[in-house]
Amino acid sequence: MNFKKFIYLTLIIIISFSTSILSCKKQSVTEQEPIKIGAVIPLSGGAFAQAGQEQRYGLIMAEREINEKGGILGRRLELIIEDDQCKSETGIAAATKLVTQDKVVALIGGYSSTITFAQMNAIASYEPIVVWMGASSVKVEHEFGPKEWFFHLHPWDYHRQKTVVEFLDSINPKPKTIALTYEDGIYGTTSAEYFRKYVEGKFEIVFDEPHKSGSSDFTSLLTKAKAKNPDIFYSVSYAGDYLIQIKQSKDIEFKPKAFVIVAPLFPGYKDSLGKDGDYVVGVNPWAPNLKIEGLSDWLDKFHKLFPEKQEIEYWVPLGYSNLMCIADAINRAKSLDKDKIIKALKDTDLMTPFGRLKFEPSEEGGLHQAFTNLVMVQWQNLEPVVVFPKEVAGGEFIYPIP
Amino acid sequence: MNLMLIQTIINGFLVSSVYLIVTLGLSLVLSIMRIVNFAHGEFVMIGAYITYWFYTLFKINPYISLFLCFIILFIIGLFVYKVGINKILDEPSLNQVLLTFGFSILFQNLALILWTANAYSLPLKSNPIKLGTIFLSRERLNIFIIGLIITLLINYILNHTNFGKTLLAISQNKKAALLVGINVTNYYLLSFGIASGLAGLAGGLVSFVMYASPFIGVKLGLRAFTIIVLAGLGNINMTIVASLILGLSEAMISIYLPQGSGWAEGLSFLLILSVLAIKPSGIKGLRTE
Repeated sequence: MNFKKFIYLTLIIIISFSTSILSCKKQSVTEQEPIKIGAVIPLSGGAFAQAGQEQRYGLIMAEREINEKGGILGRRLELIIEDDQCKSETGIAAATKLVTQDKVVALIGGYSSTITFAQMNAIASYEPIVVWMGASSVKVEHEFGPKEWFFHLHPWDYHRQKTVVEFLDSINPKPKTIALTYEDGIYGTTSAEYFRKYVEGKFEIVFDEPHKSGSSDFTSLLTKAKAKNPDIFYSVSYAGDYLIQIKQSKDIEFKPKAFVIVAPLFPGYKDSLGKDGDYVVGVNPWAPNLKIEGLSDWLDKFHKLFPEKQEIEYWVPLGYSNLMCIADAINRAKSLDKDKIIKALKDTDLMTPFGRLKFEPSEEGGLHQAFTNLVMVQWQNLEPVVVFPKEVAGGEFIYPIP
Repeated sequence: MNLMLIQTIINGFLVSSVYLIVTLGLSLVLSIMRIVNFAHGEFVMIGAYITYWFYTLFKINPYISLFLCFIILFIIGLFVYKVGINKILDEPSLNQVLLTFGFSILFQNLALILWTANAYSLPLKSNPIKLGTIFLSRERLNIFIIGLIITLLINYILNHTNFGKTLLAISQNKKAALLVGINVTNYYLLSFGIASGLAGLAGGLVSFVMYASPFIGVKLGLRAFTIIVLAGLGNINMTIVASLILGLSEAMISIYLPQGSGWAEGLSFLLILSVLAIKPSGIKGLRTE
């Protein structure tokens, strides 16, 4: 064999080897089993579906983004979304199916505390990796917060109530009396418990009554609250209830100095209430005009992807951050091994459109709590303005209601 | 009488008018066709959406939309009757319940796909009528008046027109009506259409004071069933009385019982259980086989 032949032969061998290696590698990216993540969110069956549909937008955006960037560990991400239909029994079935049949690497999602409680009880024996964006009741924290496999994103009840009380405390002139009403489920009652605890010695609660979410009429409740002439009216409930309560308070000319609610930035608020919705203030874990690194670019990207969805609630960036968080942990763990992923989750330090995501122990026994900060947002001239805390405020709180 | 009591009674009267208008169509179908339409609340929900969207997209006055609600739901009612109800009229009541319940789920999920689960309310500026320190919501007062007019109109049609008398005859004895040559199927079709139209109209009115959401019909439907159980079968006048009883009791319980708002919501269940246990025919209803 002369030298020329030798060179040709070597080249052919090198080319064929590298082609086969490349094709092997290509095959491994495209044809390997996808990495499955399961999400259980409420998409139908009740009032919670409104939040669940918001969550889905965030999850879908994150899934697309992850797969466009090459997936997780070089494998495609398959997000399996199950609908809990706002029912505990359906939620249990969905979570169990994802863990036992689909064998997902991690379970994400969640909204209702009641449903979460039932679901976690049902799957606790499997000890799956759970990175949960929903459920704010401290009862969930007490029961599942201390579990190594349970990671939680949404602030707990007491974070929310603490923010509300700190905010009320910061108002000048300081209000004296409060009328409190809350929906009578686990979310409302635990929120009320913490609120009472934090206001003790600071304010007088002159009206304290639960209500049923989804009622057609709150006039009697509001008439009773009005008779107590409170400085502050504080309602812990859901979007539809707030619409009626705000309208009916106008109907009976109930004018507290501040009308406080939880999560005031829900879709349809502006269109449904118009000027009647002005000056309502509420506690929220997020606002689109917060100064969060990369948030404005993320919002642009979101609106380009979903041009039909102009108003977004905080569940959209939270849903996005939920999936991004677990994908990031798997990538850092470089493995699908449960212990390695849990370790990576513990070390998470990720910038998300919801804020910096790091897991730390929380006050009531939770081992891994991500977000704890909340803000107060007031509707002013039909625009949401962050009014508390002062460090992030975009405007002054208008008090009392003109 | 103290001012709080007067305001409570007014609140009770006004809320009972919402219940009355929601119940009318359901009562009509049940009286004439002996069918419990579990999708009735969803017809109300569609009416609420129609009013909201016509106002939001085309700025159509919500009071004018009420006619559109009636017509559109009348047509939907005819369709539902033709594709479903017609086929189970002589079937066991369990089949009827399952079918109408199926329609209820179908409409809820269609609304969810079409309009999402967000709650939308008509942005009508509050403009209450003030009588000293007593307040009357203008929209609720209008609902009260419209509800009363429609109830009296239906009562008149049922008792003083040939059409109404024929419907009553069918409801009393279907076989005899067939024997004297009445086209029962056509009358059933029309009465189901009218009842659906009334539900649509009720939905339009409900959107003035509540909101449109895929699940709004569920709780309103429960109130309507309570009123029917309380009023008894086939008695439109008693439907007014039963609506007032429910509306006023809820308002009184809300105000005068400690933690009353929660108890008021449970009243519907308590009334259904009590009436069924003590007087199953309702206050003054017909006794049926």
